[in-house]
Amino acid sequence: MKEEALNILVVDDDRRMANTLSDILKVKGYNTEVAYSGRGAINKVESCSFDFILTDVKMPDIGGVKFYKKIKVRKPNIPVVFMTAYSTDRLVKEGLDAGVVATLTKPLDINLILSFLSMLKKESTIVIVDDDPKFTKTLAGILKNRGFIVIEVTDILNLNDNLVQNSKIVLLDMKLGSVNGLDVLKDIKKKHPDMPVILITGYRKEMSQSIKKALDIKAYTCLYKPFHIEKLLEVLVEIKKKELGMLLGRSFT
Amino acid sequence: MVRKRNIRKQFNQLSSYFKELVTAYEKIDKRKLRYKEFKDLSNMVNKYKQVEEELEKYSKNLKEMVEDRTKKLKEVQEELIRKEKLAVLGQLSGGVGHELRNPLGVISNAAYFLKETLTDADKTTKEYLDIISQEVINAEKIVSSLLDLSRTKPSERTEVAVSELILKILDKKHSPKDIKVTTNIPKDINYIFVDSSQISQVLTNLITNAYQAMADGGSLTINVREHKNKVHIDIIDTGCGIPKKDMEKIFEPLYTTKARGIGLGLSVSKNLVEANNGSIKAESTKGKGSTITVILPTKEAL
Repeated sequence: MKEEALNILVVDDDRRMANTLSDILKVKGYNTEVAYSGRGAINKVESCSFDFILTDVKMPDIGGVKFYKKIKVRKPNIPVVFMTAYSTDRLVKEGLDAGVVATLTKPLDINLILSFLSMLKKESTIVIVDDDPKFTKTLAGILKNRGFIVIEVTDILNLNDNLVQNSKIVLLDMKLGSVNGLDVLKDIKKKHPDMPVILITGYRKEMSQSIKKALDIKAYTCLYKPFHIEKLLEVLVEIKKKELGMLLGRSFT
Repeated sequence: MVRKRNIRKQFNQLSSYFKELVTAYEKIDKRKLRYKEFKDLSNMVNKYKQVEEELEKYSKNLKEMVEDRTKKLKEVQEELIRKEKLAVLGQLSGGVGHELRNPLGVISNAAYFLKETLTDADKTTKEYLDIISQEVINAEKIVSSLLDLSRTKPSERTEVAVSELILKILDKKHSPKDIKVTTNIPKDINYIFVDSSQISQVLTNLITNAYQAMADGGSLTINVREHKNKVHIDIIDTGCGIPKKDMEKIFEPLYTTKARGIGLGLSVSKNLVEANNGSIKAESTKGKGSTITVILPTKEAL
């Protein structure tokens, strides 16, 4: 079955910029729409659904930052990337702080955008490491529904390096029978220092020491059972955004 | 004020005595003087000569002082003009640079599109499309250096290890294969207190210049030493050198000896170094090579 092509919106008040970019993306097999103003872009977002938006920052009516803030309220999960001639502008920083994935400087590096788009399409693989099979199974079900590829590990002996290497995110229970989650984390971080590892635990008090140590060695965050699935999804979106931003040369500190 | 008036009064008195003295001296028939009287007179004349010498010396000093001050004033004025020139240029290039990025963006998109769609185009057409793309990249580099000039970002200073900074740059900017690179960085050098990205830009600039000056190969030596809470970084090349007449102009914006280049590198570098409380100087012998020295403060220097 052929994969559904991404829908992309290109926004720039310089029509030639919007059109050339849109034409390139079409040649590369994406569905594109163009808007030549901030207002036009807002209308497009209201009426169609987009997987990705590339927008200019300075436009005469509604600028990129205002446009992003406006659509973020109703559609917070569309990744938006700025393209601008003024990369050091104060507005750009405001946009990045508000949640824009990254800023690209004109003239654009098209190959970079194309590799970014191919990443965007790919579903992230998540490994769940938890010795409670019921919890693992239900969580995996929810995440699969949301388009993630999920690998369930209920026996810690089955967690191998290859598995971690091929995934984007690890969900790690802090208490795995006789094994301490902290040691597992140390192991993962030693070989994959940048791997986002989200801790989960039902023992907020008992495990507080280990959790503190885990956060010290750069565990991404800790969620407490029973947790709201929405909270986890938020974190996953955030991680994906960071990953995409880094792909476009943004650095997070 | 009172003092000044007093001196004026004393001076007027002195000059009127002196006139009387000269008239009296001319009237005296020296042949009728007795020996002792003659001796006294001669003493007086000697005393007068001494005063004259003193006055002469003083006036010479005064002249030197005036010359010295004038020179310093001229230097300050020149520095001011340089800064002014930079500021105007910065403003202009900031505007122009940004405006150029938009059309460059469209050109580069159009070239990319044509390359993708004209798959059966002949070799020359493809080559020309590549030329367009490559020239857009070159133009963009010029725009970026123009924008560096207009950027007035304040320095964010932290303690930085010089060795790390230099090695990182050398790692990124590979030397051309016929250039030998040597670094002498003592281990006990203190951290410098600077904006690391600004100083990294400066050193990258200077190292690139050095490479370019040695088109036929040579050696680049980077010496680091510390003196009175200041770290000196010498960047020494064995390249073509700078003619003596050009030495005083090399830090001026838009001055260049390169066939391609707009002459902003050293000027921008000087500004960035000074923004970090440092200084930069150059020595060169035509045909033998150049040494650029960047002097940067440690935290103790502040």
